[in-house]
Amino acid sequence: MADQITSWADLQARAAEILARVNADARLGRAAAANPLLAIERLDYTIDPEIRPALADQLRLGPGAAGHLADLRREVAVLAGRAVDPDDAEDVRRLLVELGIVAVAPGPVLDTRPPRWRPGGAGPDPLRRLRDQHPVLPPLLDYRRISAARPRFAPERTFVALLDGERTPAVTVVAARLRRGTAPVPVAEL
Amino acid sequence: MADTHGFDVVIAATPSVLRKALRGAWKSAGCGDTGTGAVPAYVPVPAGLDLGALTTSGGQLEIPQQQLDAELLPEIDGCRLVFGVLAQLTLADPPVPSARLLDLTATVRVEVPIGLLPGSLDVGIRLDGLPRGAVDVEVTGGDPIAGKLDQFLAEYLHLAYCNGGPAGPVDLGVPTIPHELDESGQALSFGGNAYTVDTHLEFYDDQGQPGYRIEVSRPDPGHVLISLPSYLRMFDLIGDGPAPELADPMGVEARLEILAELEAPPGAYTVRFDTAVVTVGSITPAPGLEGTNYTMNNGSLFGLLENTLRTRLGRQGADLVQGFGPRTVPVPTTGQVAALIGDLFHTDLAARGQLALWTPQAGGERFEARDVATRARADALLIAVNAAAGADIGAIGTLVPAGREFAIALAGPVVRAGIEAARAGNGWAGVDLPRRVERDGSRADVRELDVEPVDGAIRMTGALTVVDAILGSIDVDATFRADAGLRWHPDGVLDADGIQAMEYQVIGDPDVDPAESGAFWLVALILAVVSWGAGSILVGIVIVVVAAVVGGIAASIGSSTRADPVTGVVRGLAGWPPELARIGRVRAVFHNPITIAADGLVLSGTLEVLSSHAQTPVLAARAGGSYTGTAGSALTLTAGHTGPSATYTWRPGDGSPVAATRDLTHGYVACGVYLAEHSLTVTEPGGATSHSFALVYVANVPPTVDAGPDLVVDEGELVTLVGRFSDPDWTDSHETMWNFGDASATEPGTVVQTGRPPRSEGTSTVRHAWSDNGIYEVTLRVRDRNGGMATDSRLVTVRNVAPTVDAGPDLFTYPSTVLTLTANFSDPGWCDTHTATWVFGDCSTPIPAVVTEVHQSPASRGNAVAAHRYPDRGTFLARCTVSDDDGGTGSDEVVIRAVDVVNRHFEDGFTQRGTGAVAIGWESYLCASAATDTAPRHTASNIVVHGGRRSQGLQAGARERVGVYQRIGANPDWSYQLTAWYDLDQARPGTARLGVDPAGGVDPGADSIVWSDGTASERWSPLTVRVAARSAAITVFLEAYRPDGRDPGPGVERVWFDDVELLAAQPYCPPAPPPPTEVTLDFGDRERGTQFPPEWTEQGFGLRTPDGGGRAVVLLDPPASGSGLRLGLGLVLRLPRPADRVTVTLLNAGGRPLSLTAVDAAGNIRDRAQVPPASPALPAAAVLTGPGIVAVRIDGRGVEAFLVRCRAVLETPVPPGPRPPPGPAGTSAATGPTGRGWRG
Repeated sequence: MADQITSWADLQARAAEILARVNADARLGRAAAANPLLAIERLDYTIDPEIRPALADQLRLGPGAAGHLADLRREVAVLAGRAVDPDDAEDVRRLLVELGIVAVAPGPVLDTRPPRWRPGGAGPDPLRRLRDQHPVLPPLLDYRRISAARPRFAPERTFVALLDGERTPAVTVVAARLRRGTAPVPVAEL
Repeated sequence: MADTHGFDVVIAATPSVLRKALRGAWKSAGCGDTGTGAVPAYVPVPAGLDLGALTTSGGQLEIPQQQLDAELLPEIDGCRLVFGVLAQLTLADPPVPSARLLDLTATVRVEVPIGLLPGSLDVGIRLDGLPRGAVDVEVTGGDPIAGKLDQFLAEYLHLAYCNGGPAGPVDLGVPTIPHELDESGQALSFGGNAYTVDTHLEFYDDQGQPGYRIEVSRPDPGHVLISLPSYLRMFDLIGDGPAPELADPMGVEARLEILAELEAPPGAYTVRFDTAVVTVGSITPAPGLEGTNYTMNNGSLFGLLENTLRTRLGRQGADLVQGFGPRTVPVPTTGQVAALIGDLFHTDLAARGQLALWTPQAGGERFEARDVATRARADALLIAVNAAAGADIGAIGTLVPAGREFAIALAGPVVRAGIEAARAGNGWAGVDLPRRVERDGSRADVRELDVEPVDGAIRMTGALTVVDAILGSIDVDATFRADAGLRWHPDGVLDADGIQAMEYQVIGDPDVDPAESGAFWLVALILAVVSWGAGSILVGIVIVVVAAVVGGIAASIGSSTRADPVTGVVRGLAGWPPELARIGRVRAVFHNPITIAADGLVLSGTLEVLSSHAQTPVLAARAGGSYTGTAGSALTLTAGHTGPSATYTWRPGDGSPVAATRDLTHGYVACGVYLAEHSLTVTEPGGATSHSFALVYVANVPPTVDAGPDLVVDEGELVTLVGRFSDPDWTDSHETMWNFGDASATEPGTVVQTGRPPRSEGTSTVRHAWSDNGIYEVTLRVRDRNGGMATDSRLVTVRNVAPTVDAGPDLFTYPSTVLTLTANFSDPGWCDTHTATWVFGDCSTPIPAVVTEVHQSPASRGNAVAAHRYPDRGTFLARCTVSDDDGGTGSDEVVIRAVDVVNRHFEDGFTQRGTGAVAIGWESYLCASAATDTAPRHTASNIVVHGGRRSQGLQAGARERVGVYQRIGANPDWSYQLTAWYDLDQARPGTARLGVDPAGGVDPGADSIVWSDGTASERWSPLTVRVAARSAAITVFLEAYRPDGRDPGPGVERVWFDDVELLAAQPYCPPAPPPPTEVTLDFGDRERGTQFPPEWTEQGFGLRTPDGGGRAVVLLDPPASGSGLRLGLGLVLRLPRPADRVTVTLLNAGGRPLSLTAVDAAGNIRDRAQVPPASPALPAAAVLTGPGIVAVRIDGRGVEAFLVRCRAVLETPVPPGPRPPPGPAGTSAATGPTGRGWRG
């Protein structure tokens, strides 16, 4: 039975073990640098779905930003009358239709994809011109900006491609180590 | 690929670059003051250049920009420049008008080295010292002459026809086709029938009437076929013996088909007229009566006439054409044309010195090359900069990618040096490591870094540690590899700022597709440090590398750099030195990809060469090909190329001044082929002036003619006919021909014309009389010197005129005399025939007269003769009536007095007079000094008689003359024989005298009396006296004569006279031989060297030289022409008698026409003619016609000319009164020539 991670503490507790196992596999190491949660799951850890978004936010953005995102998610749910994933383009599109901000097709398809990360911060949000259209939009836009402030995790197909060697990223060898006295896992060349 | 084999930079230029440089240089042709360094757009052709046997008068060689080409020639380390040429050469002395302009295309190829221009590191095409042999010309599009040979031949034959015009030859180098040939007294025979006939042969070349136009074709390359339309008129047909009478006149039309060899030795065309074969095409009846007559005659002769005419025309044509001899016309060969173009090109190009290809020092940019080497290869021209030891330009491979025109290869070491300099400049040298980098809140320590060119990229590899990358406590060590490519933006063009920047392109950039690059989370963060974005290590280094590469290249090739207008960072590069010396600017653009390899960097692109006056339009003059129009009508010469900044001129080519206009509407007065010159000048800076020529074919406009109104005249009436003509070509000369519709010769008429604009108005005047009544269609044809014809007809109704009869003076006749009565008559219709009747007035039966007549203009003359005897004395009124064959009659009367000697037998009584008895009818006389006795002197004897019962006795005393006399009516010139019998007194015989005074006087002492004395002793002896009467009477004297000194004794001597008899004899005058109708003075058979004084006479002709010098007979050349009298300054020929037609045969071997003038006795000019220089030198005849020509003046003008013969048709003098009686009766047939018409 897989070892289940149900909290941030669980993850911290298993960090050394996970790093060792990741560093032992160069491909997994490169894939983990793109999406650590999928790498953890590849190591037969299960992550509680309830904490998975918060865990991802914490890994990606740090504790402070992750908490802010949780608050904003709740605010959006209140204002929208239902739970909404602001980084999900289709969910956001449905919300905007429900709120009557955008019309149902036919008509131009509104780009509802979240902003992309780029060196230096988040890129422009295609919904920013709708900020004043509904009270839900300011928290929704804030959420998307913060979420894009750091690189996102790779989607599973990219992760798999990296893992399978179908992608050759510019970063050729990755090895992680705990700074506090933990010896780094030996580096294995691809 | 990027291996520069020891050179820092290698520039490779394809032939396309050469081509563009060449075209840029062409565009700049008008920019400079000397043309140095440019390619000529137009090369003028000077006048006076030899082109074979001909000479240029101008022209232009146009080099269209799009026909410039170039190819590299490794064998000469240079190139071959190719110039397409549109050549227009104009000739000063063309053999035919259309050859005045040779329009052709040519390709000029010039092989010339490429290398460093003197004293510089610039590269160009070296034209200085260009050898003539390096310029090769190929005339394309075929031989410009051969292509128009048919047209040229046609024009040549038309010139030959024009040479035969009234103004004489217009081109002495061309044979002369006479317009008309007249021959008289020609023998024609058909089977056993023979005729003499006058002929009029005419040739046509009316360009406006295809049926009457000389056609020229070439049935095969070696022959030319000339189809010469002709008209043969035959008239005054006189059959010989039993030959059937033919309808007169008759005429046919036929084409002479002249097949001559055409030889084409180099530089000439020769038509072998001398061996030409002449055949006659279809013979068709001429229009009108002449054709009808021909058809009828040919039918009656069973078709023999056509065959005879065919033979005759063929012979005449062969004589004419073969006399031209071989005719050679020089033409330029294509080789000569090519040589001329080559010479012009060589001279022009050699003076231009160079054509720039790569001139880094021309634009003032930084240029730091140490040395430059060049090498022409088939695919590219290599320009190698800064050679290192062992550099080998020959080992350099292909640098220019397909589809590109040039490439710049930067050597690998140069690239690496740039990278190292960039690392050092940015703190990324090896000594600067490890170096901490912070990016987006992440910290990384870069521990290792390498940057180098690899195939396809500038590659950066290294290692770093991202501090606290995960969970705030986990460091991540990573190695990385980032590749950056280089590319141009925009690709192949310049952006709005004129920048084409060399940009880096991080290979695997997540901006492109993060899913593809795998750039998520930590990977993305690491790449942000290494290669992503402006703050990354790679970007920081590559930007500097780009600047270093660009700057290095620019310095090596002298091109300019382009900086980012915001950052000032050098990112752009001009691919070619921006200035091409003396040509303009180069705009080069780069095309992706930029090839990066371990051994270097290759940039490639395309370029445009912009002339210094690129915006100045290029407009070449275009005269618009050839034009066709008609004389006197406006024709618009249109500029084929136009532009807003162009000015134009037109020179029409007919002597009119230059007109500064774009399109010129111009009226050419005279027909012909003109060379119009058009120029176009682009007035903007760098604009050029070009010229273009066009042939203008101005067709002849034939004259219009009005023969005048219909007319009614009498036969024989000399009528002046005036026809009028008009010609818009007022410069034209004209000849006319009158055809009177009868069987007389055609006449040219006297032409007077104004010759002034806007049209020439003229008249043709001729005088003519018709020999018989009838309705005649009179035709006037006017022909201008170009062969254009117009014809008009008028009807002339000729009425019959009755003959005029003159029966002569009153006559005496005598009972014993058979009187011949002669009435003379004349009839202005000199072809009429006549019958006559005499009525004698003595109740005898009228009898038809015997008619003798002569049918000759201006009137037929004849007499009607009948003999009759009046047995009884009395006075009678005789009448002669003459009728013509048209029913006209005329008559006259004559009083005939039949008389005799009254009382000639003395039987009719005596009357007593003072001297005795005198026989009735006689008068007495006595001539005595004093009477010696009283005896009667006159007695009537009834004893001494000869017969009957009485005689007249006469008794003469001493020194007396006693007699009787009687006047008897007589006809002058008649012979009268008087016989009287006398008897003398036997005892005292005296002397009996019979005297007859032919003058009719009554004075017995008159000296005019013819006496016959009788002293015979026999009884009754006769005395006879014969005289020719000298007046209307004769007087008979019978006398006893006793002269002083004989028997002076007293008493008388007695004499008796009886039986006086008178016999009258009408004189007989045989017809006088007809005066000669033609006299000829011929020098053709004289002995060479025969000398004549300044004035001499022979054969009735009087000859006089105007200069007082003598003349000599010389042998003509060719000898077959016989001899001739050298004319010198001229000769005056005075004819034996007035003539109405004079034919002068001359040989004019000089350069100007001979003038002949015919004058009458009053000095009036009756006709003029000219004899042009003969080609070939054969005698030619000039015919002068007019009434009363007494002299012909030949103006020799000092040319080499000779008189061969002069033949004059003399006028027949007609005595004003009745002619002497004709000869024996029964000669009713007409005698002498029977002209059918007479020209006054």
